[in-house]
Formats: sequence, C-alpha cells, structure tokens
Amino acid sequence: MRRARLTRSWFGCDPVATQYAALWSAHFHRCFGPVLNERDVPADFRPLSCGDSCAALYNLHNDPTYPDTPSADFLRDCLPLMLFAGFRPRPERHHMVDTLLRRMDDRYALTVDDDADLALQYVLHDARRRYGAVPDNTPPLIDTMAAILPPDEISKQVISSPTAVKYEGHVWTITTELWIPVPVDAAAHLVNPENWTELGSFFTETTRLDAPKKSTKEGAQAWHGRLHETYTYNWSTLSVQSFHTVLKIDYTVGADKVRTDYSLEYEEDDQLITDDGFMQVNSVDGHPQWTHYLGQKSVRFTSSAMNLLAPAVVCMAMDRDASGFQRNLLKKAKHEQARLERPQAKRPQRKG
Amino acid sequence: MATARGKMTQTLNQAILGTYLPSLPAARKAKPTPPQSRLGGARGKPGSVTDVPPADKDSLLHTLARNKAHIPAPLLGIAVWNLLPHYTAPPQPMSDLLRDIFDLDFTSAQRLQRQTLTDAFPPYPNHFILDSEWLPDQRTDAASSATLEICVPRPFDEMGDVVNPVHWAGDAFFWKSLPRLSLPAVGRQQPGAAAPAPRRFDAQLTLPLAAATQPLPVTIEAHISVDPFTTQLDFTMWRNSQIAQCTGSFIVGKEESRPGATRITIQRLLRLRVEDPTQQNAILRYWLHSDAVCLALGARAG
Repeated sequence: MRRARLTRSWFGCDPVATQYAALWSAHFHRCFGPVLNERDVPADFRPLSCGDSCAALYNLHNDPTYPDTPSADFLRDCLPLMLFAGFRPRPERHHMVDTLLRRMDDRYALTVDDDADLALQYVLHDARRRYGAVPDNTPPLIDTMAAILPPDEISKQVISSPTAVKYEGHVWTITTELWIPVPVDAAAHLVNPENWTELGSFFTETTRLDAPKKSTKEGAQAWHGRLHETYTYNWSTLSVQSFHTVLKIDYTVGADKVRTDYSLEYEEDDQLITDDGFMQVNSVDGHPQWTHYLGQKSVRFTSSAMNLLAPAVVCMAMDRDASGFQRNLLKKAKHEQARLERPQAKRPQRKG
Repeated sequence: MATARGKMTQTLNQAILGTYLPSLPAARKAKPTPPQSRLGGARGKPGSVTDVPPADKDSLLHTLARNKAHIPAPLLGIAVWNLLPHYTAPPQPMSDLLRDIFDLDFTSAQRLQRQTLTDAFPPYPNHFILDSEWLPDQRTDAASSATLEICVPRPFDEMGDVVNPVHWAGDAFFWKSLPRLSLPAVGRQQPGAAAPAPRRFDAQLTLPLAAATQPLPVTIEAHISVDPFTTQLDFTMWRNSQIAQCTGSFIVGKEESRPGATRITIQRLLRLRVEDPTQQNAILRYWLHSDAVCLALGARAG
C-alpha cells in the first residue's frame, strides 16, 4: 500500500491553514458524514468536527492580529456546507454561528439581528439548493429564475448545480456546474490554464513548459502544449500535501465557447495515476449576459487513503475552483461597471 | 458491363456483409474443392475473387482468407472478429487470420472478445483506438438508424477535414466516382437561424446487395459547419431505385478531457427498398464501419 507524501506546515496559529482545515472538514462531513467518523481516517487527513471548525473560525474572527480572516468567501464555502452536512450548533455556540453569518454575507446580517434561527434556515435552504440532489426532470434553473425574478435581481444571482460524483473503472469523476451573470467573453482568460492561479489558493503555480512566457495577457488565444502545475492541499493546520504535475493541455477558444482539456503526463512524486478533465465556459441560449461554467475532473491517486477520501478531496478542489471562478468574474464585472459609470459622472454638462 | 475489379469488390463486399448477419447457416458438407478455373473471372490466379459468395461461415472465412490482400486490414479484422463467435474450435484459416491481423491465438481472441463486447472495433495492434461504441436506435418504422463513435489519439487539427467527400473515396467498398470536392465550411449557426444552403454532388454507391450488379448513381446534398471544437457534415441522399431514404452526419470533434484526441461520430438513417430488415441492419452497420475505418483509421481499399 502506498502512503501519501505529506509535509508539515510551520507549527502555530496559521490563519490560512485554519481556514483550509475548516474547508476540508466541511467537505469531509458533506461526503462522508453519515458513513465515516473523523477518527476513521488516517491521522494526517483527520478533519475537525463541524463544531470545532466553527469555533476555530470564530476564534480567528476574534483575533485582532488577522483582521481579514476568516474571509467571507471561505465562510461562504464552509458554513452552508456544514449545515447541509447536518451540523446544528448547540445553544452555547449559537453566538459563534451568528457572528460568522454576519461576516459571511451582508444579506444575512440584518436577518441575524432580527431572527437568528430564520437566518440559519435561509442559509440551509441555499445550501440544499447548492449541494442537494436535483431531480432529472427539473427545467434549467436559469429559466425558472428568469421567469420569476425581475431582471435586476436575477443579474445578482449565481446559480449552481450540485456537484456530481461518479466512480467508474477505479476512477473518481467529479462534475461541477454553475451559471454566472457575466458575458462569456469576460470568462475566457480564466479558462486559460496559465491563469488558474487566479482561481483560488490551491493553485500555487501554473507555468507553460513549451513557451517562454504567457500566450497573451487576456488569454483569449488558443494553444496546446504542456503545463507544470503545483497544487497544494492543507489538510489541517499541520499537514500540507503538494502535487507537482505536468499536464498535457489543449486550450480552445470559440465564439461562444472556451474550453481547456487536460490530461496527466506525470506527477513528480508519482502520487497520481489519473488526472484528466476539462474546464469549459459557454454562452447560455436566450440569456446572452450569462455564462455557463462546467468543470469535470477524473482522478485516481496512488495512495489508498487518498482514494478513499477522493470524493471529498476533489469536490473540495472543484468547488473551490468554481467559486474562485465566479468570485473573480463578478469582481471584474463590478470593476467594469464602475469604470463605465465613472466617466459619465465626471463629464461636464454642455451649456446651451 | 462490370469490370473484373468491380466484380471482385462486389463479391468481397457481400462476403464481408455476410459476417454481419446474426445467424449463418451451418457449413455445407465438404465437397471436393473446385478447380480455380471454374470460379470464373481471373481464372487460375490465386487470390482472385469472382465466385458467388457462399453464406455459410466456413465459405465466408475461406473467401476472406483467400482475398486478404484486397481488403483493408482493419475491415478484414472486423469481418474475422464477426465470425469468431460462430466457432468453438478454430479452422486453420481463422487461426492464421487472427495471428496475422491481431497477433492473437484463437483462445485469447475469444476471451478478449468477451471482455470487450460493447466495443465497436476489435483490438488492432497497429491502430490504437481509445474507445468506440455502436449505438443502434430502436425504431418502429421500416428504417434502420444507428450511431458509430470512435475516439482516436490523433489531433483535431489533422482530423477536422476528413468529413469532406474528397476523403470518402478511401472507402472503395461503398463509394465510387466521388468528385474531388471540398465543401466550403460555414460557421456554426445559432439555434433557430436558417441553415446554410447545401451543395449537391453526384457519386456512385456500391451496396452489397445481390441485386446490385452495377454501382448505383446517387445524388447527395450536404453542408459542412465548423467551429474550433467540431466539424460537422450533414447530408441527405436523394431517393433512388434501391434507397428509399438515407440521411446522416459525420461529426469530428475534440475529445473532452483528452488533449490530442479526436472523436468521430457517424450517424445514419437508412431505408432500403428490400424486404429483409436483418439485411438492412447489417448493411448499415457494415457501411458505418467501412466509413469509420477509412476516415478515422486512414485505411484505404482498392
């Protein structure tokens, strides 16, 4: 049996590691909550309980040394998932959850002040929509929402389908899908693997091996070749695992669709047998201001412990990439909006 | 008047088609082998084919073995693979063909066939196929329709143009007198937009029917649409004396999650003016295999 190659991060209260530990714990409980206890997994991968994750994030919130942590986007990826996994805070921890909800999203802040239980129900409802199963015959959510919400309201929504996990031929395949209220042109550069470090902090490096520098600044120029990628998981405040992979890449840019296909050439420490997949964005029929994001990854690790945990590990990676994608695009759209509005405000009025 | 070469093609065509039929009659009792001079055509020359193709498995096998030089190896491989389940013990020609084409002995070939029942192509040692699938449609009308998918480890940049009729000529068992025609490609249409006007061209088609003594003149209307991910040709064949309905498409596309690989999807609907649906299904399957062997594996007949 092959063991995972783990390294130790520096000992201490590392706020980033704490956040990642909470994220891993949330995903572990989501995927394995009903079947595995945290003590059933090897010590290096052992997650925190949901209550302890919550307490760790709350302590981080109260630590004046790190005013920016826990970040709202981390909380958005952790808290709803923990609630969906069955976490119900004990009365003595309600104040922690309330505080974290306020920090997570302005939308919940007012509701929390008014009725904390109701705020929790809202988050749980959102989580069920985001992570729960969708019946096969449900019409596309974007059409349903477009029919019931006013245009200015729907343009603030991000719609996500529950992440799907499939096990076939000893390979785990995870698919994640979302709809983002941004035109597809804006998304092309993030699909370019050279820019994947912008998606989230699991990616620590992506470098083309067959070209001296990036293909284009905006990334909308197709290319195929090889990419060196470093991907790092923090399992807890103590354990870190990095994958140094060389991938075969095909980045294709079409008028209304952009896709990167990748497949594993090798991993420097032989930790991976399979790592194939694609990331795709395309325009949405009938909704030109929306982008459909589809990510798929098939993996098989050499470590049996990692294969056991693969659904949660890869769901975490894929969900984090997707939320990084969405966050990045929405931020860009907001800046673009502000840029467009600024000159109009400053333009002097003509007389006469 | 049909040429000797045309006759040979038609005979081989019918022999290969015979291997696609679900049930074959039991082998006839061994007769003394007729002298080559009684087989007609190119008399006395070993490897010539002009005899009427017999329908039992041994005769089909012998016809294939005698004429293996005239059949593209991948297509010959399919025909031998089709015959494999009909045998429990291998006659010598079967063992020889399996060794020559697949580098396998009879037992290994049978075991491999049982393990890869859903694959549309046998495991060629010289042509690496990533995956393949035969997907027949369940229909209630008299037509037969199916889709054949094959994924090969060749880049889309090399493969994108194979849908053009100029490349169909490699499938000499079915197509003849194709114009050297590269259809103009148009950008993919948005849903709801009017389809581009198709181009029309004439060709000749050899269907492996006993009644088809001459290549059949056909008229085809087709158009090609392209985008950076796929090239697609859609065609309709005008009805004629043997074909009541024939439409289809060739789609060549970049394979998801496999950089450098291309998937070819051939879809076709066929309604012949024959009464036997079994034969129609077999012809459709053989035709799609033959097209795929030519377009995806680059094998050429003739």
